[in-house]
This record gives sequence, C-alpha cells and structure tokens, in this order.
Amino acid sequence: MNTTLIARSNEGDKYLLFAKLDNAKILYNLAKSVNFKEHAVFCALDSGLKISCEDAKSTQGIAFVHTDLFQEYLIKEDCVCIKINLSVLIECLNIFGSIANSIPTALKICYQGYGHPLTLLLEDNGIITECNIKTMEADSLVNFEFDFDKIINKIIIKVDIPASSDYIESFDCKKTQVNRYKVNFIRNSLKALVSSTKVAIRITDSGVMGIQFLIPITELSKMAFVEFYFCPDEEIE
Amino acid sequence: MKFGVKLIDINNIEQFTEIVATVSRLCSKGSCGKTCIIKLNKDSICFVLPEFASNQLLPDNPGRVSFWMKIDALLLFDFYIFEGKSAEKSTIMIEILPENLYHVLKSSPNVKNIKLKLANKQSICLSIEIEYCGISMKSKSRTVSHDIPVKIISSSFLAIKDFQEPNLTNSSLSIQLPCLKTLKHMIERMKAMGDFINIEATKKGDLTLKIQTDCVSVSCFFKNLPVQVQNNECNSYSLRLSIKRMSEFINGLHIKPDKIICNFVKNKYAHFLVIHNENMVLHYLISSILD
Repeated sequence: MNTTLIARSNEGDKYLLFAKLDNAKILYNLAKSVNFKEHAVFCALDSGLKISCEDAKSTQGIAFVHTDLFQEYLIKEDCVCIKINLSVLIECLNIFGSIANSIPTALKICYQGYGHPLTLLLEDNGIITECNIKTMEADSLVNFEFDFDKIINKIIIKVDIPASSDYIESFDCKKTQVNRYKVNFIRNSLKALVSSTKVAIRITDSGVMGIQFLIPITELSKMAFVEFYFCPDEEIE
Repeated sequence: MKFGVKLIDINNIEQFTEIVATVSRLCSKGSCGKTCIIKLNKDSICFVLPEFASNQLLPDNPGRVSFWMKIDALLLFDFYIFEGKSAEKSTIMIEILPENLYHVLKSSPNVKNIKLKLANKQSICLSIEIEYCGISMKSKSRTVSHDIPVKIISSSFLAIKDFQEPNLTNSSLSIQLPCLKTLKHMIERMKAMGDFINIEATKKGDLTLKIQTDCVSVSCFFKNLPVQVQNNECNSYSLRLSIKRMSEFINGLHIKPDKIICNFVKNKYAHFLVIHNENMVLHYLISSILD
C-alpha cells in the first residue's frame, strides 16, 4: 500500500477538512467529468465532497464523492465551500499519471480554512508531491429546485449495451412534454458517460432536466454519482 | 578525404535510427532553421547544436539550448572509416537538416543494410544507400538511394568553443534524475499549469521540482538520488528553467537512456548528461532564467 509515508494518526486535527483516499484516480475521474468550466465550487459536507460546475446560470454539473469512498474523512464544520480552479485540481490529481496494474497514487486533502490554500498531498512509489491550490470565495450556485415529486418523465438507460438485452431499464411518462435544451450544455455531460453504467433522465413539470450517471468504483465495490441539470430554453415567439 | 559508414546488424540500424530521431526532435524545437552540425572524426560522429543557433528565437521562448551528442562510431557502426584531408585537418564539419536523415532511415522494415558516404552531385551531399530484402524468398533485393544536400563548414571554425565538447568544470553539483517515464509525465502536467520550473538539488541527494504561479504551487520531492558534489560552498543548488525547454528536452529523447545526470552550473545553466548504452553520450544545456 502506498500510504506508509503519509499515514499518521491525529494529523487531521489542525484542519477544517482532512480526507484520505487510497486511490487519487477516483477523485480524478469524477472531477474530470464535470470540468466543463475552468472554475468550480468545492464543497465539503458531512456526507462527502461535492464538486459543482455551473455555466450561464442555466446548467450545472455536480460530482459527489461519498464519505464511504474515503479511507478517512474529517470535517469540523457542517459545510465548507470554496471556489477553486478545477482544471488545476485535475492536473494535480494526475501528476503521476497512471500505469496499469501498479499501486495507485495515494491522496491526502487538507484545508485549514478561510484564506488558506487547498492542499493536496500525493504519493507514488516513495515520491511525494505537494500541491497548494489558491482558494476563493464560493459563488452562490443556482438552486435548480429539482423537485423529485414533480417529475413527469423518467427514463433509465443502461450504458453498456450487450447485443441481446434491452437497454432501456425503465420508462415512465406521465404527460407528453416537449422542451428545448442547448446542445452544448448536454454535450458537457458526455464526459461522465465514459465511466458510467447507467443513466437516469428525469424531467420536472417546469421542464428542468436532470441527468444522473451511476459510476461504479469497482475496487471498493461502491457507487458514485455525477449529476447534470439543465434549464429548458425559453422560446422567443 | 575518406568517409564511409555501413550498418548491417538490425540492432545497430534501429539504434542509429533512434539516435537520429532524437537529434531531429531536439533540433526541430531548439534550432532556428532546424539544422545542426555533424562533426566527423576518425572514431566518432558528433551531432552538435551550438548555442548561437538559438539566438534568434522569439522573445517568448526563454532560455537558450545547445547540445552535443557523441557517438562511438567504431562501436555503433558495423563498418566505419574516416580520414581527414591531412594530419592537421583530421575533422570535417557539415551542416545538415537532421529531419531529412530521419525520414530516410525510418522508411520501412526489411532493411538489409545501410551505407552512408559523402558525394559531390551538383552539390555536396550525404549519400545514403538502403538495400532492402526482397519481398519473397526468390525475389532479389532492391536498393534505394537518397542524397541529402549538406554544407561544409570551414575548418577555421573548429577552434571555436561552440564546436567543442562541453566540459563539466563549472558544475557545482551533479545529481542523477529519476526515471524518465515519471519525469516525462510530471513535466507535462506542470507545463499545463505554469511557465517556469525550479529545479533544486541538495548534497544529500534530494531533488525538488517546483512550479509556482498565481493560482497554484506544486512541488515534487525525490529522495536518495545518486549525487556528486563539486563545490562544497552551498548545501543546495537551484536553477530556474523554462518548462517548455525542459519538456522539449525530455520529450525529444527517442532513446531509453541508462541514466540522465543534471549538472548545476550556478546561475547559468543546467547541463544534462544523457548516457545511452556504451556508444552514445548527449550533453544538453538549457540556460537558466533569473527571477
């Protein structure tokens, strides 16, 4: 295991957020799937890490890494939100690259609080890399008010399509609905498609569409989710 | 004046092709006009990119590079002969576009042998004859010949320091770089984040690669690398280089080196020494940028 050089107990004490991940690639892949804008809001919640990327106040991509996926996760406040350069975070997470069948890169995330950078410590084969990413105040994100009670259309599709099986797992339509969405926004969500096994598309009565990708983390036998929300285009008569 | 090279052994052919590929890549970024000099001696061939060749590069290309690659001709080639015009003029220098030589060498598999010589056809050329094996057992081999125009450099330039093997007398500290694969990847990621890299090495064998921008600072720590100290004045030495230059060097190496040693010449340049098998040595110098 790669954690020998970084593992120390009670280390997380001086940090507002302290998290350890045995495989940095898990966070790397999830963060990459929502990297359609350079900056993102990085939130540490009781339940896990949330990376949210927004465009034009009409579309959002959210990658969620549940505490289950971490080897250690300590947070001193209910919710710690900061804005960071997501592209830079992704480059840092990939600093060692990946060689198939080798021991994965270990990751430690540390954040001391307002005014301090977000620190990433990565270890691979005895080599340690320290990244300090400047943090900014988090912008307020649009609340899409995606009311799960108001969904009128829902489709669940299997991504991995073997020749013999049906690929639509469930189809639920309460009312015919026609909406327009910007193709570019929807295209942003395709990065998440690469590593997912199932996709759920839900549309509320106000036309807000939510696409949820189920991403298996095989080595931990757990699941992660990446979600995208889109506002419909208003038709100008 | 006599000059002739013959390559028959497939490993030697491959090795020579890789070496020329390396020279071609290093020249394509570091040299205005992409040319370099070939120095021919009775026992070696040197590919040289003198420092002044990158003088006119655009201002946004910081840091000059130069290189000197020496090939032991008697070890690499199956047959090699060189005799200068006279005892005093025992070296010839020619200017060539290494890209052209690379295109010829990488042409195709089924190479039986390669012959090189200098010829005078309309102008002075490096003449390369490649004999290919026949396609089937019965068919005869075929030969393709290529002529690459070259320029002879007057021997009066020989004494100039730029055309002589760089020495390491100014080096303060020498440290062996970590595995090329790891380094390559790291430098590429750093290139995406910043323009300058700080390389620092200590007497104990610790090496740190660091970039610092408005947005992020990234430091990679390598420990216990083989190190030799020439100047005991300081505990550590550091140099600031353009990441672009560093990346061109690392990515230009088409060979798998035995080792790469970084020699620190305080406040002046990083002198990299690449050693490959027993028959090739490459000196690659990148000038440092002051803060």
